[in-house]
Amino acid sequence: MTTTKIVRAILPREYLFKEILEHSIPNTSKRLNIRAIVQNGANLHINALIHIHPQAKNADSFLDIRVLILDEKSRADVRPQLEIETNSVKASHAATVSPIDPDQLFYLQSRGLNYAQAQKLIVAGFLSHA
Amino acid sequence: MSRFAPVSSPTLTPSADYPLGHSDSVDYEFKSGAGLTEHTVRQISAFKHEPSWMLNLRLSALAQFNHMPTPEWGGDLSPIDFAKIHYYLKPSQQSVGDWDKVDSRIKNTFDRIGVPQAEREILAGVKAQFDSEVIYSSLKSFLSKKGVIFLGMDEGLKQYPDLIRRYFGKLVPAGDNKLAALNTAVWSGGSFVYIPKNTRVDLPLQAYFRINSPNAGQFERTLIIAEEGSSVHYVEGCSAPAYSEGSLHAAVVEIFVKPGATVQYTTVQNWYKNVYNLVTKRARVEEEGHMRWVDGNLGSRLTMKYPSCFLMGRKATGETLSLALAGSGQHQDTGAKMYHLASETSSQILAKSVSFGGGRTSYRGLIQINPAAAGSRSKVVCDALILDSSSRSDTYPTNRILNSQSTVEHEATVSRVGEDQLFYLMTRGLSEQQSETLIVNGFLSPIIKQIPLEYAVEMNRLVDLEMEGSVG
Repeated sequence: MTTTKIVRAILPREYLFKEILEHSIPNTSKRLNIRAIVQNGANLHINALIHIHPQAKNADSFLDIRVLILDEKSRADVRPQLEIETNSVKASHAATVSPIDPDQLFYLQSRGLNYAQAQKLIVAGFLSHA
Repeated sequence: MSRFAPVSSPTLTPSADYPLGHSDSVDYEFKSGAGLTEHTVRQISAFKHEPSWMLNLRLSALAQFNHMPTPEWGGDLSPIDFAKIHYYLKPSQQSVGDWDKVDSRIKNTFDRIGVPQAEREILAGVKAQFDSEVIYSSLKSFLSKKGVIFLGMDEGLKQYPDLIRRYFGKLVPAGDNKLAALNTAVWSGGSFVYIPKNTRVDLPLQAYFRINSPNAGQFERTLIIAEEGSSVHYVEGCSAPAYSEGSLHAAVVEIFVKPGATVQYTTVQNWYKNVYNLVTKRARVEEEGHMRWVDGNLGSRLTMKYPSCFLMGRKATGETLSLALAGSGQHQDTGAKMYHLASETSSQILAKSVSFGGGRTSYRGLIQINPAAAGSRSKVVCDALILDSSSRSDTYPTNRILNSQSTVEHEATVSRVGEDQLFYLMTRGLSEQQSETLIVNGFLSPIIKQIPLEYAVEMNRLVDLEMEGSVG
C-alpha cells in the first residue's frame, strides 16, 4: 500500500515530523512518500524509521523523502533510518534535500512567468508528483 | 539499556581454526601496571623522554577522561573495565631498520599473519608495530631525499617536536570524546607523516599494527600533514591474535590536507573478536584539497568508527568508502561524517556491510552543510546484505542542511542474497557455499578495488574465511 504525506513548513519556527513504519507480522508491504517544502525561515526535522521485526518475513518496505528548500533562511534536517532484524526482506529508503533547479526556473521565466509564478508552478508539480 | 544495544554478546573463546588466533611469548622490557593513574601517565612520558608540554597535555587529558561518562549511544561499551588494561608495553626489541636483525619470534608472528616479505622491495617504507613500539622500519632513500618524513610517532616527537606541537591534538582535542581523551593521555606508537609542498608520493606508505599481549591496549596516535599540492596514500592494516579477555584499541588519527593536496587513508582491520575497536579519525581539508578514507572493518567484537572530513576551503572534496563484515557476536557500528563549511564543497559516502551468523552491522553517518557552504553537494549510498534470519542491519543517517543552495542525496537498501542468483551459480556447478561467497565478494568489490592489491587479496581471503559455514 502506498501513502503520500505532504509537509509544508512555511512559518519561521521548528517543525518536527515523525513517522515509524513497524513491520511486525509476515508478508507486509508498504511504500511511504514524504514530500516537504521549507520556506520563510522554517526549520524542519524529519525523523522516519522503517523497523522490521524478526518475525516479519517477506516484508517489502520503501521510504522516499524529498525536501525542497525554497529560500535562504530555511533549513532541513532529515533522518531516514532502518532497523532490520531478519534477512528475507526488501527494505530501502531514499532521501534528497535540494533547492529548486535554476534551469527549471530559467525555462519558465523565459516563457513569460515571473519568479513567484514559476516557483509556485514548480512547487505544485513537486508536491503532486509522488 | 537502550533498544539499540545488542541482545546478547557472549565472550568468544579463541578457536583453533582462526589462523590469526595465536599468541607468541615475547619478553617485555617494560610493562606498565594494569590500570590508569597519574603515576602511569607520568611513567609512560618519562620512559619516552618526552618534552614537558606533552606530559602536561597527557595529564590534562587524563583529568578529562576521568570526568567524562562512557558514551551510551551506539554499541554496548559497559563490559570494558578501564582499570584492567595495561596502558603501555615495550618489547625488549629496539627499533631496527634491517629485517635480518628482527627477532625471529617476532618475525614468526608476522609470517603467520602474512606480512609479505616481498613488500620490502616493492613498497616505499614499512612500519610494523609490534605492540606499542615500532620495531621494524625501513624507508627507501628517495623518500628521504624528497623531504618526506615517515616515522613512528615517538621518534617523530623526538626529531620534530616543534612541528608536532603545532598540529598535535588540534583536530581531535582531548576533550572531544572519552576515548580521544584516553588516547591523548596514554598514546604510544602510531605514525607521523609529513609531505612537503608539491611532493607526490607514488608508492603507498604502510604501517602494520598488532596487539600481542592479553589486555594490551593499543593507543596509537597518527598525524599526517600533506602540504600544498602534495599527495600521499597511507595504508594501515591491523590484526590481533586471539584472547579470551576483552582488549581495547582506541586510536586517534589526525590528517591535515592543505590546499590542492590529496590524501588517501586505507585501513584493513581484522582484530580478533574480543577487541573493542573505538577510533576517532578526522581530516581537515582546505581549498581544492581531496581526502579519501577507505575503511575495511572485518574483525573485533565492537567497532565504533566514523572517519570525518571537515571541508574548510572552497571546492574541497571528501570521500569515504566503508566496508563492514559482522559475524557471530560482532557489532560493526561504522559510518562517516562530512562537515561542509565552505562553498562548492562536495562529498561522497559509499558504505557496504554484510551481517551473518547473528552479527549486526550499523551505518551511522552525518552530513552537515553549513550556511556558508553554498553550492555544496553530497551523496550517500548504504547497501547492506543480511545472510540469515538471526542477523541484523541498521541505518542511522543524519542529513542537516542549513542553506538553500546545496543538494544532498541519501539512499540505503537492505537485502539478502537472491535465491535466483544462488540457483544460477549452482546450475553452473558451484556449491551453495561457493556461490554465496562469490556473490558477497561481488557485492563488496567496488570498495575492495580501491585497496592496494596485496591487501585486496588478503581481504578477499578473509571474507572467504569468515563466510565459511555461514550459509543458512
